[in-house]
Amino acid sequence: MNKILILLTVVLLPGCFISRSTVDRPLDAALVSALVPGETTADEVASLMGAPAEVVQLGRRTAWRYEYKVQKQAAAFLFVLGLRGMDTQSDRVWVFFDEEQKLTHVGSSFASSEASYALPTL
Amino acid sequence: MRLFLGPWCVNLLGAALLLPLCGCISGTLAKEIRHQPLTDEALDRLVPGSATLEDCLSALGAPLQVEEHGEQTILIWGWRDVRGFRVAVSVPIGNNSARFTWAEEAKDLKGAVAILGPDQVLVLLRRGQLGEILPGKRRASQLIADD
Repeated sequence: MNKILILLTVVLLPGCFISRSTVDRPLDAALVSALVPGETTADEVASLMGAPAEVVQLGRRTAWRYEYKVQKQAAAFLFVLGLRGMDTQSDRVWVFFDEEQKLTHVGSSFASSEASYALPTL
Repeated sequence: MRLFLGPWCVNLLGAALLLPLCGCISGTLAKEIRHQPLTDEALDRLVPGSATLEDCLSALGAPLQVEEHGEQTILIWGWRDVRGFRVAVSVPIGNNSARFTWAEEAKDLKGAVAILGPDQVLVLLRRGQLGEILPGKRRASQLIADD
């Protein structure tokens, strides 16, 4: 039995991998909840959260995107058959400013912790 | 001399015969998940003509993308949860090699698009395959590659 386990391990392990990659820094939910529409300015958002990943011009208004992305992959290859799973989730925040650069809206989603290494099942 | 091949030997021999094929034939069962799906319940709460930008963000969370379309603002949410199977065969031909691939997999993103007027009130809410519901000539695969 032990020999079978050892042989299976030797045969299967070289064909397996897991990986985790991230883009940008994690977002702090407490910082996001401290943003107050009608009061917080664009300068204050920038000093609290840093430079956004993207700025979108909406007429005279602007919207900034902050995002922290996590991608987890797992794969197993056995001779000619491979199983591969990839899960990409992110924490994402959009902040909207009026023409005077005052915060008007905040939209946030926190799902980076939901990413998993699951393989597809046959 | 009599050669006895036990089950072990047969399995090893089978594996040894398969090994050279590994570089030529491969089949992959893949699963890809991207982002969290929106629920119909959340989408149903948004009524064009009365729902605002605030309502959209609180009901659906942060969109993947925000765009300007004339005087309108477009919010785009998208997600993918697909399984697919792909078979690839590589054949050496002279000094080159030919590769044949057969794949059965979904390529489009599901999603929702909210179009808001200049007054930040929802004008239109579409749901379905992003490649079909995005305004203009945008393609869903570009969107997911950019996100």
